[in-house]
Amino acid sequence: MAGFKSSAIDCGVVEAVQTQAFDVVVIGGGPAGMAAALAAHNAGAHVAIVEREQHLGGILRQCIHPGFGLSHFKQELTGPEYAQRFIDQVRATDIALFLGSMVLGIDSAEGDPGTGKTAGATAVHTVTLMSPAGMLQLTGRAVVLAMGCRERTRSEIKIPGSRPAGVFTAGLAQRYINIENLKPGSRAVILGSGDIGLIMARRCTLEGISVEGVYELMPYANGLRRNVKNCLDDFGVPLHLSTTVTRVIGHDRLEAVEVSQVDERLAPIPGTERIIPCDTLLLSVGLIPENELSVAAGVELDPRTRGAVVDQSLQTGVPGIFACGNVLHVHDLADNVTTESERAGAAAAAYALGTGAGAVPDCELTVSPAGIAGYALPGRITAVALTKLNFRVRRPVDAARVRILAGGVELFAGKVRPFKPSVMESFPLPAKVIKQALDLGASKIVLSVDPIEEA
Amino acid sequence: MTETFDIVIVGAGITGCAIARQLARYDLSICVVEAANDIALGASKANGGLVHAGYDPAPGTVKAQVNARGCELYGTWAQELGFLFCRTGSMVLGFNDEDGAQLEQLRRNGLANGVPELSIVGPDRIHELEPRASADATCALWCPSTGFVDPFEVAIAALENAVANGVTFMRSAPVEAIEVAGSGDDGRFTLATPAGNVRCRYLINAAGNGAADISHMASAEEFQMVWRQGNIVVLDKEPRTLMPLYPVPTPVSKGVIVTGTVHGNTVITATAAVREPGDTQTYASDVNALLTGARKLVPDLDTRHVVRAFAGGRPVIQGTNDFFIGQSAVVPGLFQAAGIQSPGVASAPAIAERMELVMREAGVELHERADWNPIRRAPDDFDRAPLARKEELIEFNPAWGQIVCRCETVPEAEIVAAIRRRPGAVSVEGVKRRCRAGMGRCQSGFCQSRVVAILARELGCDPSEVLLEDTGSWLVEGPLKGVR
Amino acid sequence: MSTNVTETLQFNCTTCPSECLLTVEVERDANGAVVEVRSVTGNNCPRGDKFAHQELTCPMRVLTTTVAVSGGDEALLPVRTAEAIPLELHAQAMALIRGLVVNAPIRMGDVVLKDLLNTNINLIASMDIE
Repeated sequence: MAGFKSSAIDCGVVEAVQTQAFDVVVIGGGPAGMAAALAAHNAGAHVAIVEREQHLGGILRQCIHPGFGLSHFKQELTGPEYAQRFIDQVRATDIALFLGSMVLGIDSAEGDPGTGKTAGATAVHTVTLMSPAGMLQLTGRAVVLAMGCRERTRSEIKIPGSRPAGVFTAGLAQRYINIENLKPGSRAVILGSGDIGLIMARRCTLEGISVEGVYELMPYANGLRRNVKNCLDDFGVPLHLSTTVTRVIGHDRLEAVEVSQVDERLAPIPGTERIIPCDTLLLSVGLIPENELSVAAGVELDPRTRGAVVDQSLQTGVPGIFACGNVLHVHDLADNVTTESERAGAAAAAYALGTGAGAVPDCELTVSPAGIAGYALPGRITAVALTKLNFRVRRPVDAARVRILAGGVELFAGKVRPFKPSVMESFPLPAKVIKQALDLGASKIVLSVDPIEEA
Repeated sequence: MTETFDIVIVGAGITGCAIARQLARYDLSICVVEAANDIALGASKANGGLVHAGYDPAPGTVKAQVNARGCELYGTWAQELGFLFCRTGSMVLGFNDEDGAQLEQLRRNGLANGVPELSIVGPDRIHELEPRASADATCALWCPSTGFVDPFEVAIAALENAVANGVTFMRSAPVEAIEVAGSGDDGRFTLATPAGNVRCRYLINAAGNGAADISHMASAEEFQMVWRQGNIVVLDKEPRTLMPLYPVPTPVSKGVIVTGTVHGNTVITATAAVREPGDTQTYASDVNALLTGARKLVPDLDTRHVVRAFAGGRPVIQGTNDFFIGQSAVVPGLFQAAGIQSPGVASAPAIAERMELVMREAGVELHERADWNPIRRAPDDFDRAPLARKEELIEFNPAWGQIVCRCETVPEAEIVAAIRRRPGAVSVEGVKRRCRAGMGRCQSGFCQSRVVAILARELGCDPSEVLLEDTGSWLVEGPLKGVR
Repeated sequence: MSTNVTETLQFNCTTCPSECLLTVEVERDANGAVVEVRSVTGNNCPRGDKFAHQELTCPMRVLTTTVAVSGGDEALLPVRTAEAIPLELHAQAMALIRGLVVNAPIRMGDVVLKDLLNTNINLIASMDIE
């Protein structure tokens, strides 16, 4: 029986592989990994970054559009510029870089008796990686997961029809156009008004690929307003809301797509089908944190974010393993990834160096979303301290408020304002509210976003 | 210009490849002629990879004879040809007394067909065998001999072994006409293809859904093919591979089956609907039927993470549900392996064996070659290799350490090897079928551009000439920049 | 000037991530040309007002694209205009940039093309290429 294999570490031959020791091993050299590594380095830790590609920068290298850095650097940068600033900072340190290196597994000495290793006082994590230089193992007292996310595919959203060439995820098309100098087609339809879809509508138009339209299942645009304006309106690309692709047509290369309007339950309305001739279909239908490595390492995931369940210090359920950036939850802006990852890096360094306050948890509270909040992060609160809560709403509303509840008691109510699903919201939860929840004997805090018209 | 062989096999599906492999041990010149540009592009790639045990076919049918025998042969074939084969056993789940009666009927069928060790089991045993089977199942037919394979891998492995033993493979060679000369002529059959003409003394029709056309071109038996289309869904990998679970069958199909795969995914296979010949579209209604049917067998199955949905047509001969394996009654020297629908994968080794027997009985002289090598060494699979072997591979060639497909852990050297094998991959999908680059959950979103670059380099062509699959499936146009 | 019409437009300010929804009252002449921006509301800071005026007279955008690289470890160099240029010039700029080839190595900020289309704005590299 071919059991599931997580490219598992073969115990018998571990000695054969070279090992290097670090305080903090960061997996991923994109914006999250670089920010986490720099923060850990600044806290005095001996840090390594493992990156699959030959270059640091991650997906930012192909995000050549502007819109980055507005909050972090107070100026508008392109993706490569935003990345280059961090690359330059990393290069100026002694952070060890393992480029062109792919992590195959994370093995934690504690709680995994199968490895036959002796568990030390603190858990030591062994990261096994492959590269053209050979197999290598890095040990770290702390590991930061910063692997980013992947795009949802045609199969995941179950678009029926044939399977010709010419159906690309938006990110793959972006790679062809911005990195490989290859034109993916001449006449494109874009499904999904997420930011990548919108950005690609502009990139295609500028590069001479005609964009027949952007189609969106939901009754509203999913991307940032600035992108709808600068990427579609500027070039007269039509946005068709409540419409989706219901069939892919063409045997060898895409010849057309069938689009249909959808009803309130998002089901295609028979009779509204239209055939749109095109040779290219770009899909911008969502991002999924890439957590296969995390799961294999024993990290528990939140089904809502598909990222790790973490505490306030962004530590996962496996002691010493931290997560940040898009592998934790899909962010709206790279700047927010940076801010979050700096926290994770600092916390990982504190854990590794034993300088962290509160190695013993103060408390144990879970955080759950309610109302139109799609998720709440962190999922666990283990310290009575000011806590940054992140969430996203599931649908746009003109007027709603954030409420914090524990044991059925409302502990806090925010001001009434509009909310949009495209925005990753941030909410500072005061220490005194956590204290109140504990005083009520609650084990769970609820973050509820409640539309006013329904209240 | 026209090359002459003793035998030409039309079709490089799993049937044609298995027959080629079977006959390659004899002192005969053999050519496999394939319409598409790669192996297993028809029905062989559009199935669930199940090696059914053989309790379904009505006793006495050709299917009944070759299915159980094929299933038995898979153990040896897998060993000799170096492909993955998991003999996990399977259960047909029954949910009431009526189902129980049908299971008993199936068990008797199986006994008559020579299927070993069949038994009817109750709920406790069901959950011991497969803890994820529905708790509503009251009874099951437990069949230890069922297994599963990767059907492309079987066809590819069989043809690689055949080619290593001297068989010629002609791809992109759809047969357009067949000329038949007098019987006994060494060049009795002349096949016209765009890739050149071939002549042979004996012709084997293993053309899958094209079998009726080939028979017609050779002025042999006239029959019609029915395109009994099936949709199939592949789900993401599971921590533990599922045992194949079947519902009680219907008169036309085995129903919606849930099974693990040799790579740890879960497959839901297959719907059955007669559709326009050539229709390989997936349908929303079929996909929903698959997901619903699967949850009936495995209620906790996470059907959200569909890695791939695909469809194909079972090559069914109109008016019969059976295989047709034998010499043409009209045109001696033409041998037919037609109507090889389900269980075609399970039966392939036995169809090959039976074809050999039929030919021998028809007077074809079969002399064993001294230098025949039954063994095909499986290519290195980096993901499955133990750590020490991984180290060795990278030391031998650093390109073994250069990751390309991250979902399935496929390095560059493995892709290059897939292209350089004989017969090698000539398309992105051909690479995928040989080494799994692009087969995973991101469906090549991360690696496609790199695979295109490697194919262009290895095949000595421009990226704009690299194909996703067959002719016309171009992926990119030329460069955007640095051009005036 | 009785043929002038006043219309009210709504669009988002894109100066910062707040993306304030601006409501702009604008007076146009018979040819549709903007005579006067009467009022801008909805902005939470003075930049919104400035943005609205610019948007209605001559919308300015940073243009980002790529340039072919010779002798580098990448096929393309991401480039941008150092400052925003008139949106109406983007198509013309793209036609010009299409044929360019730059030689590696390149540092972020290096000028790829000086004074793009007489805008007084340079086209600069967005990234290092070795």
